[in-house]
Amino acid sequence: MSDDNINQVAPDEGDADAVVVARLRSALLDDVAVNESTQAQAILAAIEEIDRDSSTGAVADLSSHRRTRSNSWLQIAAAVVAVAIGAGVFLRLQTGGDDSIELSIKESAVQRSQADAADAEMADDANDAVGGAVPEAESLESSVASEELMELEEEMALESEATADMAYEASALTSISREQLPEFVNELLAQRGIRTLIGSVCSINEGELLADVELDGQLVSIVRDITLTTVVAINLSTCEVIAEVTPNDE
Amino acid sequence: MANEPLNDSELVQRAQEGDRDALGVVLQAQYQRVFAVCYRMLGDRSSAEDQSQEALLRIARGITTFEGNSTFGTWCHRVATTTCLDELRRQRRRLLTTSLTQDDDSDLEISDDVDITTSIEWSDVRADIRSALDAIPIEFARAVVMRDVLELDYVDIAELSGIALGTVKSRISRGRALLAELLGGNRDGDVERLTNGDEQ
Repeated sequence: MSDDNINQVAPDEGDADAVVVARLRSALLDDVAVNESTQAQAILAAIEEIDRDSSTGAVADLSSHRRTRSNSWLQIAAAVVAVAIGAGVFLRLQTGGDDSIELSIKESAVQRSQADAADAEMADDANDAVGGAVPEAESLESSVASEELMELEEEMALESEATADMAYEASALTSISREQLPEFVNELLAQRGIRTLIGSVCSINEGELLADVELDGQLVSIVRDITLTTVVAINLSTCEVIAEVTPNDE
Repeated sequence: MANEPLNDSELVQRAQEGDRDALGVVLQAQYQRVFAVCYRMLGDRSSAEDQSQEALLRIARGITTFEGNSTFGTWCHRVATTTCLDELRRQRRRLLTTSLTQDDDSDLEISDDVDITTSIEWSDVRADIRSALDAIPIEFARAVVMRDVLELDYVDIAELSGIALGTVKSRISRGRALLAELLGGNRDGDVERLTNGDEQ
């Protein structure tokens, strides 16, 4: 996410005086002394934590899944979601009242047909995404047994050998409006079991895929940024970030 | 010929590739700024140390997602402010919980306006800057510090200050003008006029 996207509000009137800002920053930030012992401990703790993440196969290594601005991202994500759904994941969010929203991700089919070599390569990518996430999924409390995930991984490996064309059926998704997005995201995050299960399988690109929804007639993925703890809505057809939400709850 | 030391971007790249030594160097280089941001936002060193460690962990975990759209230092600064905002929001929730569990519920109010104001103060900064910040209305000074020093979003500043966005922008604008005069800027106008003006 670029710095340009940080502020979604029109700038205030009157530019900052660069000299004044520099003096303020120097006094308020640069002059702050640090405890070297605490600094060393903090750095060591962070690296140890990363090593632990690596040893358990957690989300840390995302570099191999850089953002690609093409439909392959959609298809990879769709394939992974389809696998999760195939494992028996059934997501239902429901809130009461007139403003209620309901989301269901039900049967999303993986349709197969004859395809060319490019499709096979794409299937391999999807398989990699699933395989890389499996260790983390096992470490999480999940209703899906690890054996099932292993079976799914093997199944995906077989599928990658065959040529495959994966298409995501979005028809089962219920629409939400842009106005409902923040509420939806907060509701989604409140369902921690759902988040960890879906997220563990779909840890691709820059964050965890929380859910797919249809928004304004377009397929949109809700993705949590693991670094900045924000949640973004991404138009999967363009990889455009169309909304950014800072959840009220952790 | 000895190997030349790696520059910052090379170190970041090495860290992204899993080089733990490079990661350590990168984190060490950023720690002072991260701690300073946390210290200014939270107001005490102990809390700042805790949240600095949390921010460092977020940086380490998320470094592979850094794409170079800003400088690495700016990115780390943003991670630090986000970490501290999260902590302030947690404090607000704890405050809400405490309020809700009080025996006397006659005056109980549940409001989204529960103050999560930062503890920004400048009693320990050098004299020239401190006197300038003390010379203008504190709400103006705090708004400028939050925007121009801590680089917080307007929305976050409004939340932290419990005021409307328009008021945030007004305070920042006036605060900047006042500080520019006091700290040697080239602004037009005078302190009294700016100080006495109506807010939005």
